[in-house]
Amino acid sequence: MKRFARPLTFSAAVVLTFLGSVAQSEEKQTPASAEFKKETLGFLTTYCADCHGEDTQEGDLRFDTIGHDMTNDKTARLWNDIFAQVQFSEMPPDDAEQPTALIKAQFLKQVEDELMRFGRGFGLDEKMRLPQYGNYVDHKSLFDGSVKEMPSTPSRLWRQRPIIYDAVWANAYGRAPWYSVKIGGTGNHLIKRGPHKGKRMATRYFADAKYTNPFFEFVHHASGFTDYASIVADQSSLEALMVNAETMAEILTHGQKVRIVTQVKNKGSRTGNNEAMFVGGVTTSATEYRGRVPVIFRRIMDTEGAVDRSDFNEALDVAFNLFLRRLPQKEEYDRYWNRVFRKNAELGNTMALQAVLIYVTLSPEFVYRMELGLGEKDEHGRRFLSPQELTHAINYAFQNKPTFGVDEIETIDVYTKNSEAPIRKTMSTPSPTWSARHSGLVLEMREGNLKTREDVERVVRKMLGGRPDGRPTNHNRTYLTTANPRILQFFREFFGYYKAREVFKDVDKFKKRDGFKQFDKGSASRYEYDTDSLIQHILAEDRNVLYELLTTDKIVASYWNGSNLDEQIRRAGGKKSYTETHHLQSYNLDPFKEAYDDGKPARVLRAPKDQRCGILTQPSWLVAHSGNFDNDPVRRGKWIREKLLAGVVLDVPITVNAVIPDDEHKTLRQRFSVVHENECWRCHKKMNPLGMPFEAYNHVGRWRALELDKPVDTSGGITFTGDDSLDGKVQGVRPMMEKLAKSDLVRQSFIRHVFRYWMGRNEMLSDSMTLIAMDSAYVESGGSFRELLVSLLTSDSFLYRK
Amino acid sequence: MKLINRRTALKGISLGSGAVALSPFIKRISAAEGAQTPKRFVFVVKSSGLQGDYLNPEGLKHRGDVLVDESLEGRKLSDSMKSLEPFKDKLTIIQGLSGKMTNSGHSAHYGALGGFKASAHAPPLFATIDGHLSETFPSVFNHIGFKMGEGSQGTTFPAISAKGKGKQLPFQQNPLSAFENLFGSILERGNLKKKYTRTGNVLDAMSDDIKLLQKNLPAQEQEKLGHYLDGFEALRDRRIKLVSMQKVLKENAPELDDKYSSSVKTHHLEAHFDMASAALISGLTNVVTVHADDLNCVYSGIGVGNNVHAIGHGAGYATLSSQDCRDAIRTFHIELIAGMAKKLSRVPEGDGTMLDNTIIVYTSDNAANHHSFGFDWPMFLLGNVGGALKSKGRYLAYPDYGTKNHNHTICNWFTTLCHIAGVPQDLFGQPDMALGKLEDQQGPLQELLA
Repeated sequence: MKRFARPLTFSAAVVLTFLGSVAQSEEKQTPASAEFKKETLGFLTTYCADCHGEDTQEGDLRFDTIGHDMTNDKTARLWNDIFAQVQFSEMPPDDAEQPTALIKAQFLKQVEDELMRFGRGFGLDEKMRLPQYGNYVDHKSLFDGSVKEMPSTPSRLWRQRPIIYDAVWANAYGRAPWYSVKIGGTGNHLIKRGPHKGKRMATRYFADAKYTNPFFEFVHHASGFTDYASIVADQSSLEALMVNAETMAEILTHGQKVRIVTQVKNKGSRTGNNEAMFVGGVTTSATEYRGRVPVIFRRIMDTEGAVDRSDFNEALDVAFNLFLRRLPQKEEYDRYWNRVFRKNAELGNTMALQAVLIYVTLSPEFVYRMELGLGEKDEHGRRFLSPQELTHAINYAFQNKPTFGVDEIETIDVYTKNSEAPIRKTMSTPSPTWSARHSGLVLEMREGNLKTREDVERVVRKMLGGRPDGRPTNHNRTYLTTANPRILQFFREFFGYYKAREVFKDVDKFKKRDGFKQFDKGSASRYEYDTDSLIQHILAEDRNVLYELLTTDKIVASYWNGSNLDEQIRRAGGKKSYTETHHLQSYNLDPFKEAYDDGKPARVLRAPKDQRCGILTQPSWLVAHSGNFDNDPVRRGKWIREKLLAGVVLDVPITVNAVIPDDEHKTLRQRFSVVHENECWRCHKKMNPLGMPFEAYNHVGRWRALELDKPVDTSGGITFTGDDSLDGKVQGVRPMMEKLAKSDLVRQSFIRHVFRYWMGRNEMLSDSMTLIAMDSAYVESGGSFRELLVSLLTSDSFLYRK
Repeated sequence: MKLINRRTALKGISLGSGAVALSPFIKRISAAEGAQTPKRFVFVVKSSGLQGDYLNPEGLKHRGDVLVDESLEGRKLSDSMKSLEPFKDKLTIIQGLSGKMTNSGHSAHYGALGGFKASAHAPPLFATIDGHLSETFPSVFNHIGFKMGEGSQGTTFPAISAKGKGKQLPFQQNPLSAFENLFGSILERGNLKKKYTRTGNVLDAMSDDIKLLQKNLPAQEQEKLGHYLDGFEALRDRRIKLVSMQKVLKENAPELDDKYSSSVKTHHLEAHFDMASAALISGLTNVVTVHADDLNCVYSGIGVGNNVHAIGHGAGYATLSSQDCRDAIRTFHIELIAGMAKKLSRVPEGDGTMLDNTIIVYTSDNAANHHSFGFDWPMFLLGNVGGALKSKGRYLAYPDYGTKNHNHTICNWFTTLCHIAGVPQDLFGQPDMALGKLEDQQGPLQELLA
């Protein structure tokens, strides 16, 4: 178990961190700054001064003159960074003298104490909760059954998922509409009155989304997961929320402002598709309001003097219904009345009502989903999720839509003008923009059918049990349109193949280059949909899912329907050119040999023998993990190390200028031999051997037999896994992937990532029983991903809070 | 392989993703050791392209195949730049930087200040230079954006500036609400004052409510909510600061005159410049972006009654030709910039004036033309940031795109700004693939560094 020596040390830290911050809550004896300086000097002198002292300042860091005043922002930040470097054993470097565990712990405590004393906590707790630190928990202990603790999740707040905020906000309050009215040109409507009587009118309504999502999407390169409970909302979230809230309050009280631009044509004027294309003629612009306003809001706005308490309560019901999607509690009526409405009443009733609306959408409940465990307590001190919490938790596990809809609200139309028919039609609104239906789970909850573990299993199976959706995805039907989009999203984030389109390739040069002609500027996106579709297919079969994902030779070309139309061949410049540039060439397939005509959109095909082996050999994954001009065996190896082998690669690079030399006469593998030097190999030995077999593909993911006119070398190795049966040299991708796909370690590493994604947190040792149960459920069901999910979503980790 | 120090390691293309992860660490440390001089950055960005030919002083030309590096001394500035004659020794005209890595067309959107592909409808991929600097030099308001537009909206998102991936920065469009946000604390009556009071009430009540809720949460989650609470407290602090700054704000705030409620959009732009100067002088911010107009804007206040887009397509107005209109708009912008410079030069600071520690950048969101391909991105700079920019009145025209000596992009210019700002970094935005490898395209424009 040499391999896990380091993670074991970290797991101790993790356990300490997670299983109670007793040490932190105790009163601390903190030294004065001068004392702190004295205490830490020894450590810095002994272990750091060689590289960060008077003579040498690597990274421009010098510690003999370092500040100790933690009231200074910059000093505190620097000490925070030093803390992290030492804590994660990134400094001192391996080849330098190492402090003993005791000395290191003492130093860290001194730094921590001093930082905490000035409220500059280093945030280690927070850090260890981030997805990139997940693998620091000891793998063996998680799965060997030695941990007997009953699992549960700490009570927590989970920041609103950006896409859910979009769903609540974009359509109703996030648009800046304008309305183009053109008179005197062509158009379907004949104006019946007024100065333009007899002229034709054409209108068009534009409503671009214009707002900032207050919740940025966090994607860490190592984990790829975007929705994690440890992510916080901060000042920048608040500032965006406030801007949005002010706009929303105006819309809900006065209606949506619409700029109407009227362009009257005259002789010689020209029009085009947008406002600014109009040249000549007369343009006028006016502002009107459209939308529906709740009747009760209007009543409050029209009230002169003091507002009736019952009117206020009714308005608060509406505000809660719109944004928190529940009714207020007694205490909340009082609080909002006294602290928000009446406090602002002297500014006018409209202002005060708007203050209430703003307040609701800034409230912690709107920003954070609360998972406190409001159900019954068991004998281990754990509390079950309440029916409402369960409804949210299950909905969010599968969907990117809000759990609760908006109950019906009585409204009136803001636009009442008797204008020309098309304008009246566009400007009046039959139903409010915020209307939203409840999810099916809400009905279950309201009928009292969502209280127990059995209830959860029943609804989860129901949600998973729909007809398998094996249809290919494309730009019109992305993963978001699948029945349970969060499932495919997991595989997208786990494998990271969707990032293919973010890697720039010099497509202009590909037109004349063999092996690259099939790659144009739309290829990367198509690859993404191909892989989406292949995963959908594997999930629909639901047998040996991980094994299939890692070894299948099936492929889907989601944009090809099996036919080769004459017109397309002609446009491509003939059959040869059509064949060479065809999307199927990305999989080394010939569109004429594969042609079929069954009227169905896209079919699952087989790649040529021994060329493809699972998602890691999909062009999408290969491109997403490549450079602009070359393959990237380092990133590929790192991915396997972290995602499949539950391993850790240090994030901080060594002090080496690691440029791979250019040499067109050498293969990438040969050029990479420079990293075999000691300084580099320290880290690269954990990545490169795993990434090298993928040299079987060029850097846009096409399989190749030759590189620089010689048979391509695809040898590599599985190393440092801690499992002797796994370690060893491999010749090519398939032997490596077959070995990995059958390994317990790889399966369990995958399961750990499933856990992380759906729980929104890193696994703790106390989750061991949940993980073992997931593993068994998966193995016993013959590799069913559905059973794996059912096991997780009915586990104690998912259902209990403590 | 040579062992080198970490900062140098960052300059190279490092192996693996680890290198990328290190850079914020180094950056923070570098910033921690950085200088303390107040530096201010103003970006004035017009739409429809900035025609380089009309920036050339008499006798100088760009689009050659070698670098032209001339002093402005004794040269006559172009007609539209006449208002800058008093500041000629602080002026730098730059031609020939390319920006092919952006999505040009009618606008490069975030790309104009970020050097990357962007669209109006997708979230930005990276920070833009103004957003980046605003995060590096925080103030009461880290960044203030103004945008001339149709004006009914208070805050707008013109897709021009971002402080990070997916974080677009808001711009103040309506001058009245901008005034409320910036100088609201000195208002004594009216609707703006009411809104200002309401926001204060909301912040106060919410802070208390969050604290109440925190008490019922486990420690870790208290901390999480603490970040959000910090946001409220920071905004409250800002308001307290603004109240404590009332004296300086009252002294410097622009007069709330008819311009602010005018229906003529050019009056709004004048108000924006007044507020921008006042915000810099009173210390409200260090970074301002004025997105002067967009294609729908009409400059009726200066006698140009057609919109910018139509003019770009060759339409004139009344007796003015399309080029006359473009000249009038550019001249108007430059006069506003000169007005700002004049105000800053009257404020003493250190051994000189505030203008000495400021740089005003005038450029376009769409390179040199109404329809652009990004071959050439003309701009001028006013001020040399305490001498960090090597210029005492200088004209620089880089070799034209496509000639063998061309290797200078707007991204190099952005890294130059980072160096000038004292927070050097050698990569900004995305590379232009057609110019070769990344390592050949990084680093600052050495000619401009003192």
